[in-house]
Amino acid sequence: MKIKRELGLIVVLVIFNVLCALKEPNYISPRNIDSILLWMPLLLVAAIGQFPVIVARGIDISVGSILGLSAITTGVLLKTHPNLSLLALFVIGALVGIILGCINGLLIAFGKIPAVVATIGTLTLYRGLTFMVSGGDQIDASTIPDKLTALANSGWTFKEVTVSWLLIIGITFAIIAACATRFAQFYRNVFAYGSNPDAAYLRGISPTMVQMVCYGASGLMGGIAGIMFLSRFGNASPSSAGSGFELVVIASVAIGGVKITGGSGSVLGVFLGCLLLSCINVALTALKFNADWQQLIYGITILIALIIDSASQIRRTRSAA
Amino acid sequence: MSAKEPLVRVEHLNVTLGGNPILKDIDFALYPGQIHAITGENGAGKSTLAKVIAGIHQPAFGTIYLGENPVQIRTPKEAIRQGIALIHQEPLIFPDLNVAENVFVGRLPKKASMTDHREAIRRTNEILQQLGVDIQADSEVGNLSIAQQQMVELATAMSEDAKVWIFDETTASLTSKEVSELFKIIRGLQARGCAIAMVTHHLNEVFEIADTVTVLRDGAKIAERKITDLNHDQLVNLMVGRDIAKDHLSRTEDTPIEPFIELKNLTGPGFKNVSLTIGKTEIVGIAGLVGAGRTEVARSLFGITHPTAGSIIKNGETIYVRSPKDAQRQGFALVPEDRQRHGLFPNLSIEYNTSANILGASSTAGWLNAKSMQNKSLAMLEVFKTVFKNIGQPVRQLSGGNQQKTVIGRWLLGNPDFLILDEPTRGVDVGARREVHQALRTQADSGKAILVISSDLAELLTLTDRIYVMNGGTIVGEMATRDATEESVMALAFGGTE
Repeated sequence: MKIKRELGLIVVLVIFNVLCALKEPNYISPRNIDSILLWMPLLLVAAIGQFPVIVARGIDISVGSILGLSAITTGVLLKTHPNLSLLALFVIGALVGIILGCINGLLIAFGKIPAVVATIGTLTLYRGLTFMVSGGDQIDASTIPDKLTALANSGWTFKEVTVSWLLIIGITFAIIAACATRFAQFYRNVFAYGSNPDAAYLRGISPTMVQMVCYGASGLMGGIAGIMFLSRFGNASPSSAGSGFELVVIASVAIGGVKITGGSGSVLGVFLGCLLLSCINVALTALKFNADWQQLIYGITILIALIIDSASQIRRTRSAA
Repeated sequence: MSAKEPLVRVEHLNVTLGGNPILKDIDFALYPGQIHAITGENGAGKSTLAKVIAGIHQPAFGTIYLGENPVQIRTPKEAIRQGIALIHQEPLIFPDLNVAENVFVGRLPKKASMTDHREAIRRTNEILQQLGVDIQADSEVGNLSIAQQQMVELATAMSEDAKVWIFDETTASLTSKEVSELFKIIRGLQARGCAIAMVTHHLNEVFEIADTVTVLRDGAKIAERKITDLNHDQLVNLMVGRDIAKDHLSRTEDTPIEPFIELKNLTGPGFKNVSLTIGKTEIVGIAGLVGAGRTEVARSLFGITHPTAGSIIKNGETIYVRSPKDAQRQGFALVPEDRQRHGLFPNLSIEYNTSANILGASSTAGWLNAKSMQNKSLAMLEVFKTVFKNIGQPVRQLSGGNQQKTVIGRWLLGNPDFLILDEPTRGVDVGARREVHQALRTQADSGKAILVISSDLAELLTLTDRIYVMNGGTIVGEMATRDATEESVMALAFGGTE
């Protein structure tokens, strides 16, 4: 039952890419593969943060602004301290992310505000803060040290295809998360909570603890994605860095087969969901689709994934009755 | 089995929920190797007593002793740690997780600080074997039957090494074969020296398995008896024996009644082969325990669910009720059981709440005629003697009784021929209840057919002309209200073997 979804996604990925290659023989070129591999890491990292949130019946819509604020804050610090080490940059981004994530957690776990509303509020609030922090100025390419951009431009090269350091970072996180979902008691509690919150409480799992950690972790990953954003694009503007990113993140988690109503899903599914969205994104350019089509195609993909989920859910309830 | 120390004891237990006293000065004890049934009518406080011992509710006053020691059980987790397990009516499970993870939720076995699933599955299989049930520890619990899910709960309690087991209406959703398997397991626990409490309203079960029975009524302990000292009738008497002033609001006219609404062998989700008739000017009651299928019949009559067999006949013609809207077109109205969830618009005005169903009727070309709407609302509020400050105030500010009057009034404004009321006076004070009853009788006299579902026997005996009794999804008896007594209705409702 659970493996089926991942297999299905792999089949969809293969069919999609074969169709694209048939339409445009140059589709499978080193350049396009590079683009796909470069498009993926940010999404993957943020989606891994979003994953436990959605498993626990929540949602973090603020993640795009968390990414933006992390990138801008780090950029502003780089202006005055150009010699910060790579590790220091990631630690700063992570700290910004954790703080913002914990604010979400407090609002939801203790303020009892529904997650959608709370994180729409902080989406706007954190976006506003990026302007305060930057004073409205861009972080331009001269501020970003070369060692940071190198993470995106270099890595392991096989023939003409480069697996960037960013992707390696992303995949490392994915592997850690995959192990944690299986072997960490806390992660299992998140699944139990998402599957039946009342029962989880009666069995001694603290709902506030689950929510605090999930939103904190989503913030953490969003903060790290902010540094990866600087690395990949080499600049950041307070208005556009990460803007709209939250929807792609949530879409990839949903497409990856994580039940939006909570309780089930896998990191492998999330990975495949990110890969599919990356392929779609690159294919649209490669097949010379107008950029306007992108949103439409995303929307259709998400809806198809959700329809499949709800159809299998209905089948399941019928067979149980 | 005698002269031992109790494992759990409560003294002078008082519980208040939402300002209402639910349990009053209860003394209760559970001894090792003993099966103690807790029984009583709906709302007598049985489940509350179970939940206090399991740490879900807190007593307002009174002490819980574990062995000799007074303790406070503040959370369910503390109860579990003290070896107290509560098995719920609806199995408390995690449908997306497998059996082993359900059993060890929050405390999976660990190896090098990582969860050890193989060990969890091995230990779960061991427990399942001990219970003698055929379930695989790695199957997803959402795919199991209710009975199997209940076994998963039992396995959980077993893995926690529970000494005190409280079963809260555990048999309600099981088949008789599954019940006998459950009883076998319970006897096994008894033999191992566990103390067992069974909350149940099935008297057969009490006589089949219990050693001792405690009877609660309106939150007070009425009696504690050895099961050998009681027979079936005596137990029923203990459960219902309150004196009610029999002021019967009978039909004023004595004309013979033509059947208006007839159900013939109606079968649907939660009920089967239900046949009954209701005439114009008649008030008919359905008595029975929670879960007997009464509300389900009402929902099918109103088109919320659909019958799978049998027919609904109105005025001699078979009709099909496809949706609530369809039902209203047929002249049906349903006042639902849970007024907070299904009946009221709490933040909207009294006027809106009263007139919500006649918006269409009091409008011209889509525009509401405010004046006529207000007049109709005021007239209806007057019929019920509803107490309110002004018609624009939000309905949530009214008392429960006045809220209920508003909801019933709304349906009457639509001028239905057939009115169904599910628990019309739950949570309504005595005075308001009287006014609701009188208004309903007036409505019946004006030619409406009324069906009242109530767990409150006194209400049915006061208000109705005839009473049907449901048990296990079907009708088990019918009687004229003037011949009925609480005892005779209860005996049927509890599925009594004479």
